Amino acid sequence: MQTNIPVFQAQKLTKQYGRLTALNGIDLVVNKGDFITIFGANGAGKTTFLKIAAMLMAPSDGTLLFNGKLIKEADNNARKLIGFIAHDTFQYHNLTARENLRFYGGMYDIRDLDKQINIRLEAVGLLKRGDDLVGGFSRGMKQRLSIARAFLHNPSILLLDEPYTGLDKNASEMLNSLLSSFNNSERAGIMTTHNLDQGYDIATHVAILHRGKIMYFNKTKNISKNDFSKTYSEIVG
Amino acid sequence: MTYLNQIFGIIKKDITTELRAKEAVTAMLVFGLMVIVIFNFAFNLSSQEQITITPGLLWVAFIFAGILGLNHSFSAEHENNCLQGMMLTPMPRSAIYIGKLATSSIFMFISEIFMLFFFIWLFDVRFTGKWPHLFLVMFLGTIGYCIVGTLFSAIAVGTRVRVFLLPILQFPIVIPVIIASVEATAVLLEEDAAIGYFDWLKILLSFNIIFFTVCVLLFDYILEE
Repeated sequence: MQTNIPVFQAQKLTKQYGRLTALNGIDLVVNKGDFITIFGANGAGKTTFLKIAAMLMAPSDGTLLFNGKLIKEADNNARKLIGFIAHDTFQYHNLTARENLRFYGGMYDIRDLDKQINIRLEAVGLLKRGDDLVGGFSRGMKQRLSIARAFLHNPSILLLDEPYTGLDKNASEMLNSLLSSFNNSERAGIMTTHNLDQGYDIATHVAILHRGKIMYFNKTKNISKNDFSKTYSEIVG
Repeated sequence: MTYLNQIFGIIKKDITTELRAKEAVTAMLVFGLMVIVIFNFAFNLSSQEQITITPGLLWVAFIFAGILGLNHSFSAEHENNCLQGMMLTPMPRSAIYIGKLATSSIFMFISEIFMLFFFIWLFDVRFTGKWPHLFLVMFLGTIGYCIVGTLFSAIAVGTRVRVFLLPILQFPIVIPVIIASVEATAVLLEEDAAIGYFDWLKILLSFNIIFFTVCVLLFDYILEE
């Protein structure tokens, strides 16, 4: 069920790196209850879009509204509601998994932080390794910890940039399970991926980003996975 | 979560990682001690020359060692893009700046204490009865140096030439801090310590207040870009 309250609204969003145009006039509306998967090849502009949505980067042009407010005005309050899983894990190798979560969790108003940390570590299967230094973790374990960090403050908007990177089959299923429990009418999510199998099933909407432009947007209930796959191939090549 | 708690969170994190890695303080200390040893071999000073030259040598050792610590300050955040991780949180950007400034100053000050006693032992200089005055100069000089250095460290960290860029950007700006610190230290070695000491301290304090305000305001824009 969708309540049609725009959480994010990108209007003519443009980002240029020197002479390179990474995003070229993106228009996208994300309502509560939506989970949008943006598909695109490498260099399509997916990461740039998510970084702008996460307020890590300012757009060159265009606006991004958060709950109806310009992103500049929303600022710190908006950040409290955003969870972001990126390529980079944002982890300190000389801190333990628990210390990493305590550091990031300490920046939010989280009640019973230690209890929440244990819950998240257990959810990602790292409870027994919580007191180990992150420097000794594999790429997959770091990604699991990254997922725990993103969920720690119980965000209402989740931004995921290729979240399956480095995850084995069990960990991928764990993430799917977390995302399924995350999806409800009060929350929204945007995921970027180039993998059709991983992105389609969880989504309420699918989009194709190609050379900085949204070339296709539809509800998943209106298009089958096979048809979408063909459309993707036609657009991206 | 109060603003102060967020700053203390960064300080606690930096001190914990430093206690485990022992990178910043060790590098500053080893480098600083080597500079002092080289100066000791290079200069054969009379007692009058000691008063005029040693304060400068001491502060050159401090600032050369300090640049290593400042270079390390944000490069540690650059690994795994932890700086962006902090920027994702609702913490104001200025809290990141103040937290990093505090840890850089603490690490540099600790190194300076060891360097100071080594310097006194090698050069046989006397600060008898003037230790509080000397520590106050070191405290204000170190903070002034790190106020500018922390900002430029954040600018330089995203570039390929950060090791060269930081001193090139920083040294011209901190010249007033270095001059005031050297002169205030020199005054302490003379007979009548009261003359001029507080004037140099006022310069240090004014520099710190002005540049702290400017750097806090600029830090938002630097992270944005």
